[in-house]
Amino acid sequence: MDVDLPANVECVAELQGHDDRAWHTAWNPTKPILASCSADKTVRLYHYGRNDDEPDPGSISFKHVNTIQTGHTKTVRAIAWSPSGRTLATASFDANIGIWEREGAEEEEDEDGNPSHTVHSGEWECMSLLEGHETECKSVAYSSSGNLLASCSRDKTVWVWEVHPDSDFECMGVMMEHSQDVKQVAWHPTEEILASASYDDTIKLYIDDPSEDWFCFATLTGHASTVWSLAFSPNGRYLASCSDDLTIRIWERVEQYKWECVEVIEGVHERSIYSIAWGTGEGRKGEDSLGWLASTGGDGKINVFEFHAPPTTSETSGTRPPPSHHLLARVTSAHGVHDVNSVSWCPRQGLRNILSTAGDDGIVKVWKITPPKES
Amino acid sequence: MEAYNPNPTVYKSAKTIRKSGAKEGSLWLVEDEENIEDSDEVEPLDQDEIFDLIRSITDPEHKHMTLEDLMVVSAPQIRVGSNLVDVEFTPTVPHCGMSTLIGLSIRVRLLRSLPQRFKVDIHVKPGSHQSEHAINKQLNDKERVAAALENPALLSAVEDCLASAGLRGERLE
Amino acid sequence: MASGRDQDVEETVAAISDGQGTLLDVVKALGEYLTSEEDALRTKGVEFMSAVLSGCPPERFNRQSVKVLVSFLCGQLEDPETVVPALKGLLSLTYLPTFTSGDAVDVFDAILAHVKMKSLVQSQRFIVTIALKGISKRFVPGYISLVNGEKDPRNLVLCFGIDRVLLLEFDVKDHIEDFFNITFCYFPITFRPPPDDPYGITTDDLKNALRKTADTPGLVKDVCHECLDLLKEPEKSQAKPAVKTLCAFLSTTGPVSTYTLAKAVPLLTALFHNPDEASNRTPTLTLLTELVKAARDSAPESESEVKLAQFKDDLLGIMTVGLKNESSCTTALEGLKALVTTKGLMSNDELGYTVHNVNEIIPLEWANTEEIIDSTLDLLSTVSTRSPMHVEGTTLPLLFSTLPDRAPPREAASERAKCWQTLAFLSKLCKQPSLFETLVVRLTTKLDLICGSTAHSQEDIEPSAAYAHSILLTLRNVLKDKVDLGHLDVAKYLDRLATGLHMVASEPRLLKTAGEIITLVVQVIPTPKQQSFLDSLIKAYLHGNAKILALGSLKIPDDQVFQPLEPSAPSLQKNMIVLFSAAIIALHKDVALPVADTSQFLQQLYVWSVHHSETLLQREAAWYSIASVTNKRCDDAAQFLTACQEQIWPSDIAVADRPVVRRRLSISAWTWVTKALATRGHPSAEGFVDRLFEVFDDTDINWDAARALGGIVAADDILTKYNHAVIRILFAQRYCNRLLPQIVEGAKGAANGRQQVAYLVALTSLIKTVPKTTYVSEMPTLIPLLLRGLQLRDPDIRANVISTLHSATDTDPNGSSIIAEHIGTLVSAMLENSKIEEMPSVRVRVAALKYLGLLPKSVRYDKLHPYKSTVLKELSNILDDPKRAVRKEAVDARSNWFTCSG
Repeated sequence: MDVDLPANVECVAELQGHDDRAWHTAWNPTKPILASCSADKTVRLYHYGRNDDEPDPGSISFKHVNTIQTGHTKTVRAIAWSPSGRTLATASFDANIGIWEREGAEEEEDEDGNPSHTVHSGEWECMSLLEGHETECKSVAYSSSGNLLASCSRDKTVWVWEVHPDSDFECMGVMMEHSQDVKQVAWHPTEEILASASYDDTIKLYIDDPSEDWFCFATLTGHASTVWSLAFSPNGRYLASCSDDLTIRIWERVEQYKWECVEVIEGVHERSIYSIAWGTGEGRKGEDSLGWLASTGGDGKINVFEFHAPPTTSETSGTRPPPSHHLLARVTSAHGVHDVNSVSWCPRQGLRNILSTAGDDGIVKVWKITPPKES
Repeated sequence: MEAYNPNPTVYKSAKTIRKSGAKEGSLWLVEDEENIEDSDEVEPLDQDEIFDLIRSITDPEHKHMTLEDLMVVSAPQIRVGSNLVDVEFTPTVPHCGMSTLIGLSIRVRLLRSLPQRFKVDIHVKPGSHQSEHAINKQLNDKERVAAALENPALLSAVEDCLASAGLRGERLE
Repeated sequence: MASGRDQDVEETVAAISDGQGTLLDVVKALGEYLTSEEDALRTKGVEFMSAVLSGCPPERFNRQSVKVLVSFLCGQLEDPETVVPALKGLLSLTYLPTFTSGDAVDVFDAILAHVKMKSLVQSQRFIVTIALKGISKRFVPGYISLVNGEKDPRNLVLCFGIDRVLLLEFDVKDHIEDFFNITFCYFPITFRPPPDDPYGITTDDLKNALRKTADTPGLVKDVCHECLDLLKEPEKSQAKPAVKTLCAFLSTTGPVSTYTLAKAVPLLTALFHNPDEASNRTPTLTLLTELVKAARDSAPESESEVKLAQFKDDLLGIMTVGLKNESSCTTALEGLKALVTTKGLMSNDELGYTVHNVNEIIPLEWANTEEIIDSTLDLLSTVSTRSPMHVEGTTLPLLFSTLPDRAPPREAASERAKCWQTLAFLSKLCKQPSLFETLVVRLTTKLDLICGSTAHSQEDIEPSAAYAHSILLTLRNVLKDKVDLGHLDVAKYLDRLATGLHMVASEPRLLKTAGEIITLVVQVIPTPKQQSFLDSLIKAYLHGNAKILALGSLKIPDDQVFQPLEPSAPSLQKNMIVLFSAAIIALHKDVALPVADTSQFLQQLYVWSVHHSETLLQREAAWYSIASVTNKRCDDAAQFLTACQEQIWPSDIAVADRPVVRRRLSISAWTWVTKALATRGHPSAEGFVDRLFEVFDDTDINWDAARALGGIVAADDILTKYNHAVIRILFAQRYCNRLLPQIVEGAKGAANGRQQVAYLVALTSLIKTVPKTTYVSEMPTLIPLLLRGLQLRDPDIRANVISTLHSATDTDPNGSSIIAEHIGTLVSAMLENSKIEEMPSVRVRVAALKYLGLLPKSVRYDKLHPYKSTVLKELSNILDDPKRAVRKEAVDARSNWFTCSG
């Protein structure tokens, strides 16, 4: 770890258990649950809590509470929680999407996240299996309202599904815009704008035309190789993308339907960048903070950048400068010699400095970023 | 199915590098028997060792021949760094539709045989294939490789090619 | 019933022939049978119909009925119960004029789609093959895929017949490689019918069938031309089967053979000389060499005409050109060898010319590869067995001239390598008596010069010692080969080698190799000569008369007293016991030691070995002599044996207050005495063996005693047939049968842990030295003990255990089920022994990984399954071992586990 970086990084949990490469993790937005998925076709669920009695108050401990044998016949590539935290979606190389809920979850809902009675009980059940993709499904994501679900596949398509009660899903659109494998889909944090990243080196943005169907309104080109992952900034004004070309690009919404590349971050990874995540961060945030962006990839590194909005004064000159960023923290060999496949921020209040990673070693790790106390 | 290259050029196989009884730099033709075996000397992985791992993979189109016979792979086309291996291979014809399968077989062989600390890059020799970029991209996309290996037909084709890999230059008969 | 049905068939056929009914009526009438749920009824129905078809006259089949019948019978091929009758029916149809080529395609496709050749018995496959005969062009590739790999000679005879038709009728150019695989690859016929072959097919039947295939008029010409076309691109993969096919023609009949050669050789010769094809010279030469070899091997004993004679000058010219080029050199050498070994082809002058040309490449830098050297030597030794004068007159002087009189200095690595290479050449070439004589004279002279040049100097002496050693090693290697070949001229080198090499040396390797040379020569000389040689040796070693030993500058200086067995003798003299012993161990049993009292002499050697010797080499030499004399002349040694039991055991071994080091040496000496007795089945051997158990409780020496129990029957180079030892047949088995139960018992439940461990050590040491049959029935008891042995800290023991388990697991199916019972323990023990952190010995790690790699090949998958993922995971860490040999085994073991599945 680089000593002269401002923030301290600490590995707070090392969760073993997958029998094969771990691909992805997802934090439940409402409950203290972390989920991970793997080539071993399972999803593992961990409960976490603060240990206030421990000698180290405020530390977090994780406990494995459940393993879902998904029944997918191939790798579970990605997972996503619905905003309610009640439903989990799984995307598998077997081309299907699984929709999972906990048996009897309705009755014992516990919104304040006090876990001791609730999270442990009830088996996870497959409520629905969404078929439609022809080949490996690679990513799945819920819109911020929870009314829409998006998925993508090597079959070059992006699908949008409407979520109905009783785990019923209706296909609202199939976008065949990419010329290759679609690697990831991501929703805008507030609006119903969908973004997709592809093996064809481009990013596409889609909206729903009320009179027509879902359509692609913008194609973002610039990456020189596969775009692996996408993340919107918490305020929705920026989109970050990372690629096999070893760069991270920041795209800004300059008009209603127009996004432009405003920044290219190079030289921070030595091998393919597989995943990025943009969270608000915790503590030490000024008015202008755009939050924290984490990236990781085949070089085993985790980089955490802090972003700040450009000064508003220059807006009159027509060309707004890009948001500023600096490296806040870095972990090298985060999973030993292994590739790191994904990074995700914990979205829950007070824990937004916590992130999880999944590695080729089958391990899920949880990291805590501690910026120096403001003096 | 039409063969991509029904009558490929066969090359003479490289013989194993001479390993005489004498150690390099030794005065003696025969060493003292004691103390050679368990010395602390580290023998780092080199291009010859990696070539040995892949030379006898069967060519998917010519089941009687190895990648070495057809000079699809060779030791000088392999580079080894401290944690990095780079393998270049040469398809026998620029339109060879088997190139991806060959590359995948090389990748799987190395995936199974090299210490995990090694990152492996595989690519066709520049200018040797009309779809060079597409092949290279596919072979180095870990997600595509992972999915390919979950495809039973493809996996079995790869296993067929790898069945002979253990021969390490001994003849395929 | 059968006869009844035959009658039905006849009646039906008659009815149809008379025009009273039609074939389609038959099908309708059989309806119920043909669609019955009962297998037997269906079979009967189709059988009936096929029988009718085979009986009906052709004019009764119109186009329409053939079409319907083909389609119906093809449908029946899907049904395993009706395959055979349906094929018979189809067979009848194929003879009909109304059977079209379109029908043939349908039949053929149906056979390919539905008939699983491998699941049918021979008679059924026979039918299938017959049914395929005569079907049109679509047939060729499909047929090839069906019969490829056929091994049953009964079907082969038939296949060859079909092949012949195909070769005549079809354009097979595109399939020449496949055709080679199904036809010509059977040349030359090596089939031997099994002794109880009920079909009476002989090798000749096969040969004739195949020969007929190749010897069909017109066929040779066609196929030959197609092959020749392929030869025009000699570097392509199809050229090889093409030339093999042509080679197959050479072994048929005279005219075919002559025709083929007359076409192929000039074509390839022209190709070789074509400047546009210069880059293809090597593959062209390879093809020519194939032809030359085939021509050589196909000449019948009786044939006086040498087929290749008219091409000889061309071929020799091409090979000579090829020889001078790096890439084609090996092939040219092989081709020249083929020419040289063709009976009656090459004249003596031409052999000389060949050798002359080969001599020219020897000194070239690029010719210094293993491959070229091996081929060069192969050719030269082949020539020298026919006529040694060329090699002797030109090659040897060339080689000797490159050997310097003084050792290359320490830093001159390439010069040194050159010397080694020359010596390697010489050792391969000089087995012929006349060549060997030259070699001995030249090399011993060289030795004299090397030793003389450094005898009194202060300079770095090691390069000289190493150079001298490489020369000794060369002599040793050639001698060993000659002894193995039974050459009689070895005996005449007694003076030059056995006496002459008694040199003063401090370097153990020199002594060892010189000793080996002495042993090899003494072994082969007759008893009286041995006796007189021994007399002079004893005079020298026991009485100080060293003048007779050694030659020239290797001599013991005149001013020195020679008393190697005196405690105060200088080290260099003590070393010479190695050479003394080297002669003693090779003596016949009739040769008596010319000493006053043999027992006393043995006692003296024993005392010297334990108290006065300075190195292991010296000690072992003494023990070898003791063992050899005890074994061959045990009556002379009677008093010594008594002394062993009455003095040496009680006061040198079984005494706790003696230094442990000396007690261990005494045990080693004891082991050799016991070995000498046990090997000849001497009655006192048991008493010597049993003593060893007495110290099993003594932690200072119990492991040594336990290991000795194995050492006694371990193979060695001293008490051998070559050295005229007295060996009782099956002594090791007897020994093992007597001791094994006792040792197993002890290992299971000896009085205390110390003893148990000693028994375990004895077990592991004993078991690896005896054949598997000796203990295989005990495996259920032994395996748990061996597994315990894997926990002993000694790497040698672990290696022994693993090799024992390896041989127990390797082949025996019963062994494997016992192994399967212990699979979990075995897997984890082997994984532990594969890790460098747990096991520093490379040998053990390699052995453990080899064993792990063996399991998937010999144990049922369901037993392995629970461990598969652990093994793969653990092995993936071992892939990073610092040693290449370990990594290789880890890769192999891991890939065996990867591919094993249920």
